[in-house]
Amino acid sequence: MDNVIWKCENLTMKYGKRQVLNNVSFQLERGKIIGLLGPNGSGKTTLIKLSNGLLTPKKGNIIIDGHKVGLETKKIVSYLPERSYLDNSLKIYQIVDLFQDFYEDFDVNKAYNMLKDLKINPEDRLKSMSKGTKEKVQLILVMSREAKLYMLDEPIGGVDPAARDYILRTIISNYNPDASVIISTHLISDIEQVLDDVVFIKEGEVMLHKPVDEIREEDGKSVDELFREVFRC
Amino acid sequence: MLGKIIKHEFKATYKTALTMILSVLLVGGLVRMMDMVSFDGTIWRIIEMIMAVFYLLLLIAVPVSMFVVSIARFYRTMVKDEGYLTHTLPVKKTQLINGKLITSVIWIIISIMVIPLSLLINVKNSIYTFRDIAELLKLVFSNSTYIMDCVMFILLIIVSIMTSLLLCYASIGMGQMFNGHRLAGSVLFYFIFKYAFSFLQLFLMLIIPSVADMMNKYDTVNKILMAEDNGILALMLFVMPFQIILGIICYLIAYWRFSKKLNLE
Repeated sequence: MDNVIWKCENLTMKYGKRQVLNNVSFQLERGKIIGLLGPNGSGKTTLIKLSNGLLTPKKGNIIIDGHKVGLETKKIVSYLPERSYLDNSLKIYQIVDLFQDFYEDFDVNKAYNMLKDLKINPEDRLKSMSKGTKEKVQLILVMSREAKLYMLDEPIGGVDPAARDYILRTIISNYNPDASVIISTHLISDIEQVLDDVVFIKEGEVMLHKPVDEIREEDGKSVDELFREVFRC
Repeated sequence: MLGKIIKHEFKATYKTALTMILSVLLVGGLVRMMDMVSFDGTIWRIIEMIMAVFYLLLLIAVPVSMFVVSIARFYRTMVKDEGYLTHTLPVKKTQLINGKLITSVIWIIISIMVIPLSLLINVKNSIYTFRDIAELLKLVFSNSTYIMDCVMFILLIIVSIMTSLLLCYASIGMGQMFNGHRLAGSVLFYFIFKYAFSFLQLFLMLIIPSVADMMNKYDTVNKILMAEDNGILALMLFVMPFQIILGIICYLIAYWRFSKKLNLE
């Protein structure tokens, strides 16, 4: 099996006249947890949205597990947007039913176990929950899939520190040699401990793509320290 | 997958739809009960009148509201935050559009059918009774022209509902072009499409001789109702294909925008 799970070739994206991604090409391996790191407006979310077919690139393409972005990739990519995207009027178990219906790789037992761990009642309506709890629900749904690629856009931004630890443990426990996790975040010091590789992206260009261990050994810095250095204002 | 989309669309919309439909039947029942008890007094009469007017307004409002609610749901689930779920489901865009269209058409048709049903059940001295309907059906099915007219009329209603929905879908798709003003852009494109297609239809109706003749022959409602030949059928035979073509164009625009030009906020 090809070791590359995700790659982009000559990827260019514009919003009007604003260039968001500028001829970007790189690839990511299977079985890795990759941090997609960069300041606001650097192109992280755009890259993730392009990977999920929510945007169409101006030029170039993205290949996931040998397929162009489309129906086949949606079956194997589990995506967590950085916003609340579920129907607020539904109860949790109804949303679980929806995921179970549409995604063959959805593990309903895992979902209910995680809901129980976080003391979330499946009979509750989404609109009755706090922002943080909604984000936990969304993450549970995404991580309950046996996907080949998880794309998490700011998964820990709106949750409390204890839940953050739980989320990071969940991400690690889903690790398997065939699946990769791409995490886009600002909270680098929290996430660094779980990352295998990092990609620094700035103004639509990839500044750095290295294993975390290499950064620590060669640069003698943590990823957080290197990030602050590279993206100093 | 289409079946699953339809199932979940119905699950998400049935409460709102049933509330609207049941409200018509309930208010109608209330009007009927008030008529049956009928106290003397000016105030009671005023209340009866207000309830009757409210009931009639509700009869018109429910199908219109059903249409608006369907479009609002389409907008919310295809272009707003819920679009992040909709467009990442492993389903084809055609299945998404078809699923939402089919569900909306069914609800709107049900809400229209509630009107005569409600009038029949709830209104004292209603313009028709069950016996009248049986007589009418006997008359219709005894004459092949009437059968054809009825079938064409029903088909035309269904096609018109679908086309109206698709016109909105296409407008919402085009409205995505306006970052930050998507709703306004959708409304703008709705009026552009609506007036462009209306003018085109009128133009064609005037320049095609046989259609222009029919339009002159049946230029009042009374003449349409009294028509004994196939003139009405002929008119519908022109309007229907035009509506179908319009619907197909709108479908293709919606499909193109949501599959090739998707740009969620």
